[in-house]
Amino acid sequence: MLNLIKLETNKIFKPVVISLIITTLVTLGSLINVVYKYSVPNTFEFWNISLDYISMLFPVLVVCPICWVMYYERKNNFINYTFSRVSKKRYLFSKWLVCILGSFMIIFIPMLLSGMISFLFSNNVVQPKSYEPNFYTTLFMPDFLMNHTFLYIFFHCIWDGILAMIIGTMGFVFSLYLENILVILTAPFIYFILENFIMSTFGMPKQRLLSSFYINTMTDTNALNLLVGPILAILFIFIFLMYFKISKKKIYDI
Amino acid sequence: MEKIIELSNVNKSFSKKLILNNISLSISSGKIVGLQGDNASGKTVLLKLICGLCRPNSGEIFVEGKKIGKEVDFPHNIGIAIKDFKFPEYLTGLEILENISMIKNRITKSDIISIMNLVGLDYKDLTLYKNFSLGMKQRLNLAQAIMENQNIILLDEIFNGIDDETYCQFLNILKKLKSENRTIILTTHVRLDVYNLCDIIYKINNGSIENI
Repeated sequence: MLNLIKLETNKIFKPVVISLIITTLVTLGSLINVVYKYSVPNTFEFWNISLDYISMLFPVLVVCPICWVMYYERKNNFINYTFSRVSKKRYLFSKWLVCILGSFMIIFIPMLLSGMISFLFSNNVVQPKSYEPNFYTTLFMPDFLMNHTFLYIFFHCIWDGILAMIIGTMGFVFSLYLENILVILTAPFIYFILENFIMSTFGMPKQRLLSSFYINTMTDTNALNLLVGPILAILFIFIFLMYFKISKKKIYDI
Repeated sequence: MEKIIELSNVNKSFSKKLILNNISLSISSGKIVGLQGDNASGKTVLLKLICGLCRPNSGEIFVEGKKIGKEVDFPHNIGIAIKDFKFPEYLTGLEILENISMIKNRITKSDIISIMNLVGLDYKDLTLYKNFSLGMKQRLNLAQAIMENQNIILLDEIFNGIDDETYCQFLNILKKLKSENRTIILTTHVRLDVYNLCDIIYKINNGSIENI
């Protein structure tokens, strides 16, 4: 299994590194922009506001460097060379594993880096004249946020990395069955946009996947809202898989 | 002699067009078997059925005693060089073989280099696959099919697009593989004299198979 993981890692290493660099540049650029344009009462806010671009773009940043591999292996029938050497389940599992790890890294590393750098701008924090001491108490785990800001950011990054893994899985599943590379690479983003629109239209903005990205916006009383977006996405992946299972579409399409 | 491949009453059709009709044959280990037939007669389909890439509409296929589709999805220890398979275009020959060999992790880089030398490819050549000539592609295809000491080797139109020198090289390789008691099934429509090397030749005609 380790050799398969190594093999798959080699395949996507360069694109993932490029995506990591782009994501880091977007995140840091956004952070610096926030630092010089906003007055915020806490370093965490610098970081949190700077997530706006990344929270919208992450489905594209995660899927593009990873999910093309499976498409090309199917397109040129290269995947058929693998079946006589390893079981289909093991091969696809190793591919999926590398896919979700890559997805996690693409979001986790730049966000954590940005979180660490935001502490360099502690001097730019401005306490408002009419400071509202209870402001942070309306957020998710406020005491933890105030007392262990870096750890809070760290767990926030892990959570967002998990969301990236779900989106990465969605892209991977699309790449197993769909025939068009453009559709494969943009479908998770389109899902993300449509889900955002539909949930907002139905008056459930807190349950969007986009809202799940900002865990601090969830108060202690509605923390379960965090799970709605990811669960809907997993459900969508599951329905998609079932559809292709029922329609008997093959991954090894001969 | 041990029967390594057995097909029993195999039928295969695509979109109601019958390609193979009630095919039964058995192949002993260590033999070279030739499959003859016109274009679209079903030679490649038969190879794909044997290696598990296609499932028959009816009938049974056993490879090394295991029923395809029941006991095993794809028979392992089988080398396949099918004409419509391609490799990643942005890699060199050595990189492609290294990538494929990593799946099983059974052979070393020096094994790969010796196989490349055997089929007439230069392992130092940095030409990308997309710039390979047809002959180089065939050499690479043959190399991956035999590099892991596969017991059964299926070669589909491996002689297309190669020059006389390469052809002689391929014949020598086939003889060497036979001497190692490996079972080979091959098809070609360009180098018919290759069938002189075969122990058994089957002809596929209108979906039926006959020993010639």
